[in-house]
Amino acid sequence: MPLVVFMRGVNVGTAKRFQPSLLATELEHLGVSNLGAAGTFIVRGKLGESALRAEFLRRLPFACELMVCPGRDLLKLAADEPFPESAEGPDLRRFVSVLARRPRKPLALPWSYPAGDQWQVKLVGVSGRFVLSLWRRFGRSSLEPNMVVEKQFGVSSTTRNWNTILRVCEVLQELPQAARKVKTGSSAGQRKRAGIPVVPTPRDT
Amino acid sequence: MTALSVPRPTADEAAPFYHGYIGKVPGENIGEQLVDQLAEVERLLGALDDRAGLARYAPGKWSVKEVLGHLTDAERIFSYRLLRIVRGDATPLPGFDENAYVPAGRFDARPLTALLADFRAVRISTTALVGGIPSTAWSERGTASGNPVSARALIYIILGHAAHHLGVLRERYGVGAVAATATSV
Repeated sequence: MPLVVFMRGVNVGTAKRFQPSLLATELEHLGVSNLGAAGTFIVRGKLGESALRAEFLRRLPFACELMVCPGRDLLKLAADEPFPESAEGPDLRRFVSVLARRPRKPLALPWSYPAGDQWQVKLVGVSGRFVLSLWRRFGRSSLEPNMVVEKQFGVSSTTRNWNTILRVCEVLQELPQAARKVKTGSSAGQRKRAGIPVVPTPRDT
Repeated sequence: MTALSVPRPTADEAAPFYHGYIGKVPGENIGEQLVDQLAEVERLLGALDDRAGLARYAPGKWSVKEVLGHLTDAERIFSYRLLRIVRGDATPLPGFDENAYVPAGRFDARPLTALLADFRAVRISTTALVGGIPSTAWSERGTASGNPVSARALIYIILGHAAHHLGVLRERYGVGAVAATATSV
């Protein structure tokens, strides 16, 4: 089953900026493709998790935490339809945080921050390493669900909108059975412009 | 044809991930919903110009045009699967990589009107196909992308998949709001 790689804290603000599409091209020989700009990758190749992490990290010009999980775990999460259908709108959004590891202690749910009627982030479910939350626009304040999740569970995490998770699952569900044709990687010039260091690889030498 | 009703599939008639899409289809009046959903797509997206069609709600996300192109691609593939399965063809059908199809489709370079016409053509074709399916064939089953799927599950997936993306267009891209503004002046 494919793996899904989530990068933590990239392309947010001015730090740790890079082009995920070029990194995916760089790793295409491993069956890597990316979705969006937040650092979400699907890996079709049969590489072990630690080797995969090394392949990603050695191509990045900055230190970065990677949350790697089996695609089947995401498909199961989506199949469980964990959010009520009504929980989406301009001022109400659904998020999934992927924890670096399972939480050590359970949390009584739902848990809101701030507590009471004026909550902005409400944690509504935990499934393995996934924490489900609702985000609500409240006045001018914009609280990040990921910050709340990390503080509450004491574990680093990275967060994606539920629609992004569903799109990942659409791709996972429809992955062709046949091996994907491997293309050559991007040029050194493209990598340099993308902020990805030019690391000698077997293809470059 | 719009009166066509298709019984809802049971849980074992599609991969679990698709149950969410099937759940987005209210009732069993499939013929009516195929027509109504086409009208909804044309109402929502027909009010946009090409510049609005390039809008993305965040960097790296699909544009409105790319979402529409994806809907058309997916419906072509799902309806092809439907055709083979209702004809009793048990050949396992391959999956497709939507992540590769969208950039390959170069939808941003095409006029939104052309993309809408493409979706309309596909939906009319799907509706015509569905209208000719014998009632006994809806329970036929096949295999697509490595998972068992029935004919009736496929038509619910077609509708539910489009409903999902239309919801994202409304909620994240604000497409309905743009259409409302455009039509109110």
